[in-house]
Amino acid sequence: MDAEEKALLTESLDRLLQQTPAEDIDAALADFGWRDLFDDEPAAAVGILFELQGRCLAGTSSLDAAVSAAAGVNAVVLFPTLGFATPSSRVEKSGGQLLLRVEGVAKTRPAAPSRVLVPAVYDDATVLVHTGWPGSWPSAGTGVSPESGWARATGEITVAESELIGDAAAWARVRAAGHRALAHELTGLAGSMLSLAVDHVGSRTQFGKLLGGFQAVKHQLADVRLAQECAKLAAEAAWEPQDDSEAVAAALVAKAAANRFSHAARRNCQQVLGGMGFTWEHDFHRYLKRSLLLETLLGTTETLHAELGGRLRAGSLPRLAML
Amino acid sequence: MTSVADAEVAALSGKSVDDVRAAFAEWLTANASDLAPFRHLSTDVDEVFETLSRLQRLLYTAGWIRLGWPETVGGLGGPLILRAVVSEELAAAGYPPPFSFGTQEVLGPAVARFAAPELAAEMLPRLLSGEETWCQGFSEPGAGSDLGSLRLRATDEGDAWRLNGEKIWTSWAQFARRCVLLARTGPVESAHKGITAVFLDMDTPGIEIRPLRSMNGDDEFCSLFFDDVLVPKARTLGEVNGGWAVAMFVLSCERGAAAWQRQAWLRWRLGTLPELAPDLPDATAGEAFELIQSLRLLSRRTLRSLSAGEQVGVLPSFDKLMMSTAEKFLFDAALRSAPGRVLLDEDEAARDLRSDYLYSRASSIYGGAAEIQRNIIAERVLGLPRS
Repeated sequence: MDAEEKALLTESLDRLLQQTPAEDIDAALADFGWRDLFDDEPAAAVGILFELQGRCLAGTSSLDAAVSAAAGVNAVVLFPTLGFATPSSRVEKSGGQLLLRVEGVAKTRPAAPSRVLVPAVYDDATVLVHTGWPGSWPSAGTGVSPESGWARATGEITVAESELIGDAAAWARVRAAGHRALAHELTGLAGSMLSLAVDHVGSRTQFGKLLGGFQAVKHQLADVRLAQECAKLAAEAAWEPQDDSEAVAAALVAKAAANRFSHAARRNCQQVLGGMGFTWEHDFHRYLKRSLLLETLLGTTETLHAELGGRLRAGSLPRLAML
Repeated sequence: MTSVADAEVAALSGKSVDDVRAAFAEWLTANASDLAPFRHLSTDVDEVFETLSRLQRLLYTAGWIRLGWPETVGGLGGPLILRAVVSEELAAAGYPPPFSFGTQEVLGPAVARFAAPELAAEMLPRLLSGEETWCQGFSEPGAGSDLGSLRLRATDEGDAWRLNGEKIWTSWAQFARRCVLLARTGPVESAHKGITAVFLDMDTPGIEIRPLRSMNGDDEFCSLFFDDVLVPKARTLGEVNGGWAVAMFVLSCERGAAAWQRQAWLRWRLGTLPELAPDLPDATAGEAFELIQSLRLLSRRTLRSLSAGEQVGVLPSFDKLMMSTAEKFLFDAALRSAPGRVLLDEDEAARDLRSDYLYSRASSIYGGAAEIQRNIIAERVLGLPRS
């Protein structure tokens, strides 16, 4: 896809996200043909949509689609508990049957999905379970940012051996797809935090001078801007590898770089927004709260770094982003 | 040593980056035993220069470091990016860069672009072949980050410039045969509009070199004193009073191509830490990798732009700021995890690590301090008010 096509796509998706009522967005995306686009051009489809939905705080269920596709299915995903880069659900043998004990987080939806994809630990190994969901489903987000639509999901389901559709390698691909999408979304979210801060310091004066004219303010925002540049490049570069091992590492880097950007934006942009950024009325807190959630989804920054470091120590960290 | 015919390497100038990488990696492997002496450098600076010059001559003779340079200046042609491939593979295989940052990638392109063609054709091969090294006379005691206020005076003597004044922080001037120098040709108030760049011989009468020992114990930096030094006007680089363009081009090379060498070296250095600092936490090692990878991505973008002949504008300020961020993080991590190794031990590996740690402190100062890069990003990228 060339630059002009990307710009057109960005423009039309942006319009769709801005103008569609929240409850109709998934249907509107389906009409738009996002799924076909995703099948043909996953990097552009995910990169553009997720950055935009971060930027304008839209809520779509596209993360489920982008992530479950990496396991070759189309299902709603039960993500590990916040902070976990490894499965937090378990499969146990119980009286000749397999019992899936679900412990995780999920995107809320009005009705329970027909099929779910659950990463789980079974006999000390990682499996992916693709199964039906018999119980109720969280319909409203909880905690710090209900509007973001994330809630805990728990339950116990009897599953069949044939519903264990993937192994650790499949989970690594699924997780990498999640890391890539979240990296784009966080880049959009933090980009909005930076824009809010730049607008604020460019219009408000103190001591007879624009806030943005003070070097202490400039330097804090320059650091955020550097993190933005790195996060954008890392998110784009995460689509380069053809090989699984490289793709997993590149996705870890992209998510870690996005977390760095988001963290820097939360800290420095809030500081220069002063009291305004602490009010309910100003939009800043909505971005801050959503990024808190997404920064820890599929692993904390430290977990991601530790995995990269472990691979470095083991000598299995590939060279990425070749010339 | 396997001898590679020039024709064979020259044919690579038209090949893809992947082909060149594979061919060079193969050559490095085939010649590993002959190249082994270059893996470890002496701590004696004269010997280091001697060794690096031999490595450079060897790579030049084989043709590898002529790739990506125009044929008019002794190169084998092909896009600039091939130079970055060769330097990266060399670092990845554990060899030191055979050419100081101050010369090949930083000053070479500027002389190739701004010198009279016959001068560039004469001088560039000497630099590339390791026959001589060059130095950079930019900073002055009163003009560091504020380079535009430099005062070293060049007075018009008809066919020559007469230089009087002082330079500081010139790397390895005691080994250098030539110098790319910025001098004031307009009034001081003309700031960056009254500066001219010249390319002078370091054995010209009237130049005094005094080493300025740095905190890691190296005599890398020098002060230069100019007392009625005459430089032929034919050695002017670019336009008279157009030296700022030369300076900015040099800085873009330093923040671009040289940053690429730096990230390759940092990545190699990170790989040595698990052994040197076994207590280095995985999360810290991984964070260092993320930062070095960020530098790599920034630098790759700049290199691609330079290679395509595009303007890089203010983008290299990101590269420079990330370079110091990554470098300081890496050696801070080494210090935290192995303080005894870094601070007390006297074996070669510990001394190298100590020197690298101390040198990393300067990374946010040299080549445009981090504060300057932040100002540039804030004012020219984010559009905040200029001070």
